[in-house]
Amino acid sequence: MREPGFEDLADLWQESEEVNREVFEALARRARRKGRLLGYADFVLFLLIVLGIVPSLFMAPNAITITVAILLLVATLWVNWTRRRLRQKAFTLNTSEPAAFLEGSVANAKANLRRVNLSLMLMPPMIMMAIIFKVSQRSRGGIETLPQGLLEWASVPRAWAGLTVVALLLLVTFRSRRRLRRELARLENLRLEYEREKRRDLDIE
Amino acid sequence: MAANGSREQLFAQVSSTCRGLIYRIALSYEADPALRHELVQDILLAIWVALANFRGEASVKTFAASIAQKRCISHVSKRAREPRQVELSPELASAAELPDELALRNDQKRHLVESIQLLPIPQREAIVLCLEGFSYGEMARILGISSNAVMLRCQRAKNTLKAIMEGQS
Repeated sequence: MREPGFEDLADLWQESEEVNREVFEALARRARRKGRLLGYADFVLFLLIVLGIVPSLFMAPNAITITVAILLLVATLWVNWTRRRLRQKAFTLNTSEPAAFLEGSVANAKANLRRVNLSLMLMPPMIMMAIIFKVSQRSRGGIETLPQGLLEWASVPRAWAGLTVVALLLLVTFRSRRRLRRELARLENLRLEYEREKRRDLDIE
Repeated sequence: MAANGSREQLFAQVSSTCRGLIYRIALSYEADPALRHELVQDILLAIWVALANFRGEASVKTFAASIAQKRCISHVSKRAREPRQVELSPELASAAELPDELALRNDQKRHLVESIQLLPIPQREAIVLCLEGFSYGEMARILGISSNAVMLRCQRAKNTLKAIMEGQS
């Protein structure tokens, strides 16, 4: 199959291996470990959030606390389920048919972009809900004590530190949206490149 | 689906027999050594996950190459910024204090790798598999095109590679 001259290039290419056995085996071990842990990660995260929310329900059972806690649980469950589904989809793409791979990658990038857009839309109300949950739980009161509770909450420096973290989180999400848009553009270009190459294959055939 | 024991065995087989193949495929897509390291790790993770569904329809080498190519394409599309030209590792680049012939060979290797990295991705995929010694049938399976189309694409890739290498030298 190789032409004279190409044989030399192939020999040269195969000499360009630059990793030693120990380094590669360490990488393989890490990959195997990560592969095993990945399956449990989302479940553990969800469990931690549930364990954080549910006990406080029993500590201060009032209408606002219960409503907000249920909304937070549902949102957490949904986010985790979506993340898991997207990751599984990305892994399935690796074994898909070559033609389906790019299509799937584009669809995956679009789904990721939708998820990030949705996160950006949901994040502010979810944070607001979390604050209301915290305040209502602390004041043990109903709707009438909420404004006062929120004012007290806002006067604590720790609250501002928390809001700064949230602002940073929003910035990171915006950045990730920009990255996803670039990824989508690259994938679309790549798809065009493959189509061009395929046309050239057919033209000559 | 591969049983857990056989998955371990298959992964061990991939680690021992496809080490060079995986590294070289990663090399054709990523010039930065640190990012290439991450890419190899990513490929190995994808192989580990995919081995659960390996049914032995193709050889382990073909299976690993197919996944490696796909992970590399994902890596290229996810890259934070456009690739920059990075000096290849000292092992590849011409090393001082080496005899002239060896230094020349290292220089040729570096030149070849840089030229491959400049190829359009569909042609790069084909030429790398060709350089790795895959048959047209195996390449057709990996690339999802007919053997005839593989042959034509390889020819085009060889011509483009030749033109790039001549243009650079």
